[in-house]
Amino acid sequence: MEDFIQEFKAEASGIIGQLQEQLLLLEQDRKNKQLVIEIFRGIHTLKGSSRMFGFESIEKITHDLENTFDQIRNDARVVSGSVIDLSLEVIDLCSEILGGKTDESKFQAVLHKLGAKDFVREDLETSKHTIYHILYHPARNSYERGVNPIAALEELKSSGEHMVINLNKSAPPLDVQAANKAFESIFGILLVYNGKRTDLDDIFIFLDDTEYSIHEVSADASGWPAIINRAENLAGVKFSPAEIKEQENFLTSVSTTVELVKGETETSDTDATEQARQNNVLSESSAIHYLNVKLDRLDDMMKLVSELVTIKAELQYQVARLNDITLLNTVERLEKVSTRFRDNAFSMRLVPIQVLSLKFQRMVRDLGANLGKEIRLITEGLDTEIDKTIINEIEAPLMHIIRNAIDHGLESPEERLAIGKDKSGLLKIVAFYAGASVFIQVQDDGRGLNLKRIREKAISKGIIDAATTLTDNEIINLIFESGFSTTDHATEYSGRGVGMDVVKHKLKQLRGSIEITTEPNLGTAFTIRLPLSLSILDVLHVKVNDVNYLLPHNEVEACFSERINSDIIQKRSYNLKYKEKLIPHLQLSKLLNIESAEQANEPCIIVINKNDERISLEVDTIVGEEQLVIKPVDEALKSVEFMSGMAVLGNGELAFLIDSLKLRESFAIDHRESQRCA
Amino acid sequence: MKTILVAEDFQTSRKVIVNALSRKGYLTIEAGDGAEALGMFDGREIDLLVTDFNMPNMNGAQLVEEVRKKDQYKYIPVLVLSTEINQGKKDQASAAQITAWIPKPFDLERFIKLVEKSMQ
Repeated sequence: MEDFIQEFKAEASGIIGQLQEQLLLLEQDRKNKQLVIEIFRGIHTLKGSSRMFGFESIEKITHDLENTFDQIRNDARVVSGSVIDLSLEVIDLCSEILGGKTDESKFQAVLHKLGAKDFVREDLETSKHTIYHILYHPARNSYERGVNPIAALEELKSSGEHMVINLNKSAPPLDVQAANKAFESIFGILLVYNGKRTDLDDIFIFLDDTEYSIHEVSADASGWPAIINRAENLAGVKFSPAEIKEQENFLTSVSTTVELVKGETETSDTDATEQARQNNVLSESSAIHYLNVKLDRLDDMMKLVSELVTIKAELQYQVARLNDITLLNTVERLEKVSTRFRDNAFSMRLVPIQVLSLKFQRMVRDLGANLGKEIRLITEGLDTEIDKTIINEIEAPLMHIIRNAIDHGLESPEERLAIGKDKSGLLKIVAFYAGASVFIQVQDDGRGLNLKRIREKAISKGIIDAATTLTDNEIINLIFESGFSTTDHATEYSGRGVGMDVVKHKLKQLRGSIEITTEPNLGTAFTIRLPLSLSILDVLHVKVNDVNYLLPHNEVEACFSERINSDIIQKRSYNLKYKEKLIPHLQLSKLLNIESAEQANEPCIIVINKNDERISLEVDTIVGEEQLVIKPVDEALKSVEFMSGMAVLGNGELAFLIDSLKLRESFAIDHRESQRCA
Repeated sequence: MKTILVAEDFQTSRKVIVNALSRKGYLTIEAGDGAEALGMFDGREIDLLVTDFNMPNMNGAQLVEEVRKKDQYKYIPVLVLSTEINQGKKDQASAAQITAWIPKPFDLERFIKLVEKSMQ
């Protein structure tokens, strides 16, 4: 049975996840009979199987819920808001019980709400594997009490992995003892038991305390000699050295399985949602098979892939110098394989944003209810996949943004009706790919950001000077400044420690970015851009004054040599005409305060397109495309804002990764200053 | 099919027990006191004796003692139900070779579990 506990947990988590979704759907569509039937079936399965696997408390709390949905199913009851609320609460609790973390008061509170009588939790430690040493020596005349001591022994053997040592060598075979109605055997039993201690004691229910003794063996087998001694004294027998050795071997072998089970429990705890997702996928298409791999192992693999990529770059550089055609061919093939290998390794770490979806839904629902706001949540493209580590990191910032949208963005139903909007506010979460980036957008159709108030606030907080003239965009970006908060008193929901400055910082760490667009009374959209993966990038390698710089390949839209295209490009002081539009133009050398030695030669112009905003960059030379492992910027260089990473090139030189978004900001400042000077 | 003899003088209790056992598919024989119960150990197949401790005309301990004297029933399991807290009387029952002592009031579910277990 204990082998199935993990499977049960995974399966039950799947059901719980599904129930959550279905309940939330039912709330929107309360007359949906099909949904009611599905929910009933889910609860029924959960209840039934929980009992089988010793989770009586789950059975207890789902019992009434099952009845309720049975009544709804039979039109004897209607779906009310309180039914949904309580159902969700019960489902949450089930999930906590499965994960082995739940507090008693919460359990009792839910039970109380369910109207059930108090129920003492006995199965809190159910799924713990424990090794017991049992000395089993029923009285010779136990048959005369109507007790069948062999039945208890058999039950014991069937209740877990075990090892039995016969300590009375002169006892006849058990069937003979049964026929004679005289029990003579003495057994030393090691048992790996995965249930409540009271259930174990129940096996011996018809035996006297003097006929058996149970001792827990700690996983590290400390206290083991004492257990052996005690057993020997109790039964007046001696274990032979071989028997002791045999038992120790058994302990060693099971202690690894006990450890293993613990390890698995841990991963399944942290990855509960992931597992739930996988179960969902599994149920949709049984042809897909999953293998759960520890994240550590994937991390190790990524490190190795990164090393491989670095070495490959070095090899390429060396071979290029040798100029040996055969060698070049081989290296080219190596490059193809290593690129595919890298992409493959990346894809293993990708999980769909969907895994956060339930959390979004729950928060929208709970927060909406608490703040008295009606919200329609629409999600799109949540099957978009992103690196697991990024998902973990992005969760809190994303939740913060959603929380803000609900708390500050969306108006109350009355307010909305008064200005002719639909009573319920719209919240849209959209995810999509563009190049090597993933975009996640949180849009609301609320009141929009109040620029005037943001400005006043920033002045009062001393973030900007009262005289400063700022564009709308610059004002919006003030909310990312540390110490800024748009409401005077952060409400319970929006002010939970993380501010927008933390959100922005986190995104920067992930080499992502955030942008806000807002229209008064039409709403606000937060757009988060994230790299697909964290460490290896395809880059364009350029040089300015012999220093290496890297531009993310997916952001490069075009490269020109200035002179050839002089007829279509009119270089102005700070702008460049590109496709009939003026775009900001930057000289990297100027920005870095370097005197470019090659200024006189034909400088190259690179047009960078990021989030549909273009900027052009002037560099000395374009070296070529490369694939490099990006490392975080050294502390000493942190002040240079537009450098977001570093890499070691094939020839061992250092190169700096340029963040074009930051570059544009630098340009804006630079531009303003120069205007002021002029 | 297993046969269970239920000896209990309090009729409602007896009915509850018999009812629960029948629903589990057991055949039941009822007796209103110890003497009546003993009379039923007449050679017929009985797989389990469930008896109250305090009964008129022979208490539970005496009943068990007499039953154990009969070869055919020497080893049958015996469950004794009782609210008895007097240790002396408990000892008397234990001496009479009972399988288990079930304090009243008891949880029916757990009782059934013990019944099943006792006949393994």
